[in-house]
Amino acid sequence: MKINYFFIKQVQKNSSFLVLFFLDILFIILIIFFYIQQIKQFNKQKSILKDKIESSEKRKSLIELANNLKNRDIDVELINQYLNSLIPNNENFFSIITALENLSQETGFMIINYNLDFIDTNSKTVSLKITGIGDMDTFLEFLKNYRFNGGRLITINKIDYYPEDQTNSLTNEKNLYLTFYSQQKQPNKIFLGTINDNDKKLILEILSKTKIIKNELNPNKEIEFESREDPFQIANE
Amino acid sequence: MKTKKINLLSQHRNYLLYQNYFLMFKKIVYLLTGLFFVFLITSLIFIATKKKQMDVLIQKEQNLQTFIKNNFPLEENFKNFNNLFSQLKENLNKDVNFYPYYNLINDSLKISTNPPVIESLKIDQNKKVNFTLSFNNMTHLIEFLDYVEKETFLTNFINLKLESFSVESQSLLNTSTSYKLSFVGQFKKINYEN
Repeated sequence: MKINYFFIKQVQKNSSFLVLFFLDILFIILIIFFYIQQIKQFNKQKSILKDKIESSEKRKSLIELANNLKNRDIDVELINQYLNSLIPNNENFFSIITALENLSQETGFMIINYNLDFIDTNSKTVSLKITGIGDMDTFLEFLKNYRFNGGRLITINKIDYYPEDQTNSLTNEKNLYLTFYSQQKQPNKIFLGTINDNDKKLILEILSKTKIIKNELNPNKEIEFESREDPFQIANE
Repeated sequence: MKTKKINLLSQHRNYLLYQNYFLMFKKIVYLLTGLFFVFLITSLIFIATKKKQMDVLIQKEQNLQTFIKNNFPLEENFKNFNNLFSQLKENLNKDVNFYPYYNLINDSLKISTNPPVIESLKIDQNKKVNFTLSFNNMTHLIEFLDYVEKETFLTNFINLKLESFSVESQSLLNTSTSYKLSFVGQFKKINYEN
């Protein structure tokens, strides 16, 4: 093999540059690698932080909405007492009977009989077929007030009304199918809308009409709600 | 004896060639060193900027957490309210809410010059309605049919059609006759149903 002395001499003369060349290449590769890693890490951290902020912003909006209601003299704690009466945490027949009695007394439409409708009754709704007597005015009064005035939320999904039948209050019996509700757990459902005028009117109607039924069997028992530090915890999982 | 010849000019040319190559190599090394510093400074600026951005976000999150912590009881109350109120509204959608619709139809009938009598009124939770009106003479019925086609009456309904028309006499000897009109249709939802 032919040895080129001139080349070797030049390499010896420029050895420091050769070392610097390899170091430059090594460090540039290292910097590029480090730069890419940092971008990935920052983006990951930023994404996690942004999710946290988004979740916290939602909670903040919720609190601001609650504060807004407070400023408009809507006492959420008080409304909750009415709502808990209308839709109790657990179903109890005592409150259903109380609600029917309240309605009878208030409207004059006498409920003389009620039967549990097992077909439409489940863990969260109770369906009752009721028979009542009353003249046209008391029946209309019942139809006007049944939803909140008893102290329990009542719905009726269909009404057949025959005014002419109401002429004789003693002999005319009316059958109605009433549905009562108890609370359903909805941990994922977070409402972030505003309370509009219709909602406000509905709240005022509830406050003015509802007669709170206290749980006589367990008057000190507070209705328990599952509380979480992060309301979106389950949704994110 | 054969003497070895050395071409000094040719060797010198080779030497100069290698020297030129290494001069070029030196320039490349300077360039790479410059590039290294540019990369280093850029990445340091990048890290500093990103760190600043992260600090801003961390501070924002901390402020939000403090706000939430300070308002925790209010938030819990509102969550309960939210849950109950949305369930209440959902359940109310299953209700026929008869009375305001009865009033609506009753008031609409009163506007006509000779209001008929409501014989029957059936409403379901979807606001589908079926009602029968009774008239004591034919003229009133025709007047009412004119009224029914007006916007003031129809404005309350999504759709409405005349289902049947019947004439009923109390007895053969009795001259009093009642005329009945049956309608089927669907009410427009009242914005606020009280």
